[in-house]
Amino acid sequence: MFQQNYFALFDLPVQFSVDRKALSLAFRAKQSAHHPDKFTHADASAQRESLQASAFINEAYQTLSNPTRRAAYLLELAEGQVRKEHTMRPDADFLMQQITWREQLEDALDVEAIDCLIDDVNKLLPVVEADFVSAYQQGDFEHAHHCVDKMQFIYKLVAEAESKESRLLDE
Amino acid sequence: MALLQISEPGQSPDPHQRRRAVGIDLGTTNSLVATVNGALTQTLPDSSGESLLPSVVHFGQDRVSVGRAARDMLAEDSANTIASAKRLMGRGMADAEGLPYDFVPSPESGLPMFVTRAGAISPVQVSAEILNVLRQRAEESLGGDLNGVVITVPAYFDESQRQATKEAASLAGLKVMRLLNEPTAAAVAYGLDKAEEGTIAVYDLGGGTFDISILHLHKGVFEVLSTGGDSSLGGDDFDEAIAEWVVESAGIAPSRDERRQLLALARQVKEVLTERDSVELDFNGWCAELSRVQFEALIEPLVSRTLRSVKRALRDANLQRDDIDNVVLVGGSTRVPAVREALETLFGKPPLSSVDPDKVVAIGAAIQADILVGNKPDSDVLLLDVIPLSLGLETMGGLNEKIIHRNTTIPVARAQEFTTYKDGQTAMMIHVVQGEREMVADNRSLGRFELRGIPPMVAGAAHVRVTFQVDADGLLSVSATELTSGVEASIVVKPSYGLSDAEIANMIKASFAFAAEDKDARALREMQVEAQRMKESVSAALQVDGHLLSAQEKRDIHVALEDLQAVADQSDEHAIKVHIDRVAHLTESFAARRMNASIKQALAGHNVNEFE
Repeated sequence: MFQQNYFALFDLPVQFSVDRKALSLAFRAKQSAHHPDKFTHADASAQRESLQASAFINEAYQTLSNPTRRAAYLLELAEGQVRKEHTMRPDADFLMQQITWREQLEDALDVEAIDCLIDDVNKLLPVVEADFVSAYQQGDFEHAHHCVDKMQFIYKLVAEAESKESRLLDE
Repeated sequence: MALLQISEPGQSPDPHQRRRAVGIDLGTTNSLVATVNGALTQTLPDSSGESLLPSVVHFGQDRVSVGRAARDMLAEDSANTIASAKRLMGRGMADAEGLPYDFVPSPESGLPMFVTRAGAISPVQVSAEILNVLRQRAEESLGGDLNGVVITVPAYFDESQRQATKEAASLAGLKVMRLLNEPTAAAVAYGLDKAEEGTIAVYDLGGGTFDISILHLHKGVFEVLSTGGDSSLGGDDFDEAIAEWVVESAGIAPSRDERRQLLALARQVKEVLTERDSVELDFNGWCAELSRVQFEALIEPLVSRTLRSVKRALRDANLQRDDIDNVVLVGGSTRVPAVREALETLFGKPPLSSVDPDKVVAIGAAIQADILVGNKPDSDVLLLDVIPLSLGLETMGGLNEKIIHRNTTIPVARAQEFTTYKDGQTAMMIHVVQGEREMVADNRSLGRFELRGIPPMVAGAAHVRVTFQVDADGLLSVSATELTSGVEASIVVKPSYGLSDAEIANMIKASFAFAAEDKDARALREMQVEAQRMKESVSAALQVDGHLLSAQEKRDIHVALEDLQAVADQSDEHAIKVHIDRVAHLTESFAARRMNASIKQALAGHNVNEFE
């Protein structure tokens, strides 16, 4: 089981778009068979095995559930075991965009302004995802890595914006 | 002739024979034990019909008492009567400050121990006494030894607190199948785990603590979205409010004894007002009437405080009020009608209240225990819990590098690679941290251990893989391996609060590495192995890339290697180290030249633009 890739583990095609329902059903079925709760009376080695299997299934599920991690995982599979260190030229336009957003977040003084920013940033997400899919399909992995970085940045910024929002609401 | 019966260990040969399993709610104020009996899940009462066991232990002249008998001693013999020990489970000396007991640090762990006439007693031992009484009660009621128990803990309990709870259970002779989060247990008691999907708020107002947890359930996976609360707010504060009202209205200044009587009276008044609209009270001849409306005005600031926590927990979970499908009540103080009404107003739906709020957690634990022990082989219910706080490592500059993020479903194993930051570095301190903050100093330190025997290499060349594994109870073990040499070290996290960093480091080193007497022998052996490795790797490098060195450099290295060889088999650890360092020093620039050469080779034949 541990040799399987995460998509094969859940009987899913190796691609970016994921059938959430099928994923979640397959995850449940796998955990029902391997979770330590099903081995409370088994011997120590079976318990250890169940712990490892269950942890592996959780890791696989969490990787495939999260779009950024799923995209990074696809690239990992495509590029094989030896992962090259990517010293890529940064995407200059996106760098500027990042700086602008960061400034906007710093300057935002009320919940409405932050909400506005979150909406703006989130709007870009499907665009970046589509960009990733086409780069990945064409084998342009460097560009695909750029897209993963962008996705990561977007999620991080939204999380920061939300935590600032909740601080404001607490005051 | 009797046929030999073969069965798996722990498996009963008779499929119809039920195994004995119970759920235990080990509470701050009261504890309970419950079991599934056919279609019915019920708490087990003591011989006088009481299910609630006050979580109080009294250490008397010649005997230890637990429960109501112990609680009755609180006033009379307070120093030897321990209440609310749960607050100190897995906590440090600093957490014990301000509590009305004398403490000494444990000589082994540095954790606080109560000073009693029976000697120094740890919070774990106090909890074990309580668990022991519940175990006996269960064994009498079920007619034999228990096959397994489920014990509940607050969702926010960290590693050390969970570990301490497990230790208490094993001291009491219990086999813990699972530690279950209290709010999850409450949701299970209502059968909410059988729903396809739902979001649940568990509002737990006990005698002295308030907890709010927002859970999300998706096909049997319970995720704690957020937790919050107030560790010094509970039903006792309602009693205080009534007592305060009496003191003011009557214009009296009660003595300590009178104050205690007054609080007992206030408690009765509160309970009567749950059923009736007003109550006549008589305190030492001072008579008055208190209406429910008046009472509600008295406790309004307290109820509002809980609602603020609820709203914050909702925000932390990124939810709106109407996202909540069910509100579950836990704790005796949720019987107060004003509390229920406030929640109904907030959420727009009445909270679930059909299960006794004092017993709901124990009942949920019992249902889960029944499944885990194997009495329901066809059950497809599977509770997947998450870790409440992120687990990480200290990296350069005192930063907390998170390895496993909070709310990750457990069990989970995750590895991350680190490297050395100094040339020739042969050891690495692994500092395990729990919490969400960026700086290590702002989080909880769970433990430290040292990975030793890394072969000397240039900075950044070693590959140290640190693996975190969290089991289904949320307990962590950490191991580190240097991949090129295979050296390993590991710890299981144990409560260690209140110790200085050096003490923790020493304690862990001592516990996982080796006994003191063979410490020196081991260090010498490690040094000899290191010398051997050094010799082999340098000789190999000379053979391949000797042409990168001048004749003089080559000679110097050869001499140094011979000197190293000469001391390597002797038993002078220090001398070996000096010579290893000398070889390492002499070969430093050689290593750099080799690296450059190999990069050039890799680049040869490629257009430079390809690498931009």
